[in-house]
Amino acid sequence: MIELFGNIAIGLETAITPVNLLYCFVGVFVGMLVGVLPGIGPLTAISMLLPLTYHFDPTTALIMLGGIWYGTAYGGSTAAILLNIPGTTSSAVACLDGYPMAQQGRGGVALLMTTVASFVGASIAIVILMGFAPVIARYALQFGSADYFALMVLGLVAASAISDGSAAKGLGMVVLGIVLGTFGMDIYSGQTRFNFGFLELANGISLVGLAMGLFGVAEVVSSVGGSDRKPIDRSTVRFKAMKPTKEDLSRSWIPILRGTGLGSFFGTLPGTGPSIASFISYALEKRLAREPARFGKGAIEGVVAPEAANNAADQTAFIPTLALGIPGSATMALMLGALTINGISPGPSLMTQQPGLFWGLIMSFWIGNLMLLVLNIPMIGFWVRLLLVPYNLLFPAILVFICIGTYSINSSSFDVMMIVAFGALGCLMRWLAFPAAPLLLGFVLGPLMEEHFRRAMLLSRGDFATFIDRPISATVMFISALLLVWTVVAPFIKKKSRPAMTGNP
Amino acid sequence: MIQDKRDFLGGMLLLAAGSAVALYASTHYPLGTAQRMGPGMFPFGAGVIMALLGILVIIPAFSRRDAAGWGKVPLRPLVFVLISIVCFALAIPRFGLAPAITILVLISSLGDRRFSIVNAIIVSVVMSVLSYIIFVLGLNLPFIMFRWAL
Repeated sequence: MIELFGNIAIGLETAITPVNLLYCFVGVFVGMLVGVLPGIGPLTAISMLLPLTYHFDPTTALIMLGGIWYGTAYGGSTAAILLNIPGTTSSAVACLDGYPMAQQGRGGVALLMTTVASFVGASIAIVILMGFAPVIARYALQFGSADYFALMVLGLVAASAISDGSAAKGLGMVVLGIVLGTFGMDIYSGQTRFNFGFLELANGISLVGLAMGLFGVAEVVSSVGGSDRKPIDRSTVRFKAMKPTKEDLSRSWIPILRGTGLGSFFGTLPGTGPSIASFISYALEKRLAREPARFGKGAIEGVVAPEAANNAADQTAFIPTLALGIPGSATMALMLGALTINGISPGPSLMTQQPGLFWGLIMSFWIGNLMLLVLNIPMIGFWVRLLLVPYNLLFPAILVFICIGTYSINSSSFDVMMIVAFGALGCLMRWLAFPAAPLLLGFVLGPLMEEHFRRAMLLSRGDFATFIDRPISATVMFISALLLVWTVVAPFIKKKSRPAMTGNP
Repeated sequence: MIQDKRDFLGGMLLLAAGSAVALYASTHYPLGTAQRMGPGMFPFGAGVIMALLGILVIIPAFSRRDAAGWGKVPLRPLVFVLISIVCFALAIPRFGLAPAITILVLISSLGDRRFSIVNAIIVSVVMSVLSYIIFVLGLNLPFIMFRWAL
């Protein structure tokens, strides 16, 4: 217990320095902005600000990137409720009952209640993160290379299997990412691989160029020329119109707690994360409701529970990333990238070696969530006006930030050209309906996987059985295999039934 | 008979890319042994797996009824956006930040059907000033706003 208070003190000390407070604010503000604006997702926003982390202290960098990540969850619901446009995929569910509420003139209530639900969900999840991450990290210190390799395999299989569309395509993109991750110097032999005569490729493909092209450019290209926004009735979002009734409150609090529980659980699993958590939470509330017919027509439970779930999942997603160094989603992979860019090797020893970073980041989550509460409610008029900025003014500005950000790292035009290459690849993948997130995950995990795989094989004298001899590795490999078989077989069984969920675009 | 042309093409590309990687890795870098793997082994394995996954994508494409069709990628924005970034990369070391931003904004704006030269000029001025404030004044990055170095 005393240890925990000591850690909290260390964290607060780090988190409330003026620089960290400023960038925490920048992070949540940008997150809010990005969440509100359809056409830029959290991945794009985080990759846009990733270059800045080269110039920052790693703690500050992570606090800012983290702020973007959970800030988008708040902002996303605003666009979903007022315009029926999900600003992010995880807030798509908020459209279902939030938009009908707005049509009934109760948009203000919906916005206030989602903000409260988000805050409650996030707060509880942060406590869970504080409790579990150190325990898992301590346990993970005894993991060997084979165990790590198995865990990464599970993470990648889960991420591609659960993502929408064909599992083979998702896995294909994971492997493509792993291949791209092998470009550059081989750490064991020092040999440069796949540089094709370019000196710039000796250190590998830059994460920034890859992420900016794959997500930023591809997203901009497919959003240009989209339809214009619908007008919003501003009177429903005035302060007075926000006051929830007693009935709203009594209907909401249990669903908020249920949503938080579900979200916290799904956030920690690889491959699931906030979108799936919010869908499942909505489905659960509908199933449990006394009058399910109200759902889809402005039921407040259908708005608050998924919002609590996706915010909780946003926070607990940090557990595997920080405690094991294994990200469960593409966004978390970018966070991990920000650490490695700054020369910090992620893993279970992070917490003991960099307590300031770990606890400072967690304390910044509290501060950031408080900031979001303040940002959200009084400033709602500002966000609404922002929703009306036409995309044809916005997208060139996004491109400017993408290009300058990338160029600022090494003053290298080659890096900017990489955006073009990956932008083209990203568009080709969209055209052929290949998911991009697994590629990024594979790219970040690839080099770690190769290192652990080769070390495990070295220790076992070339015997592949090492992956099934060790209990941890064997269990994890077995789960991965089950998941793999299930995803290959499932499409053939489900063939006749209707498509289940169409959550991800 | 190919039912789903999109997945057929996608699978073929995956198969081709995987085979190319496996071939390139095994011919250019030593594979080593299972115990002491060379730099070529891991990429070779990944390439083989990628090719196999390509085949797994191709097979169902022959029988699928409800082909989903091609993903939506509008050609005009694609071309102008990519060209504008190439021009930015070429312009910035030669003319400095402000001209590079202007070129980027002007060309990329052409990607939208509702292109307006006035809007594009306003955006480029605003973005140049904003970038100066954020990157040069705020973050102290060594950017040169204007230069002439052909």
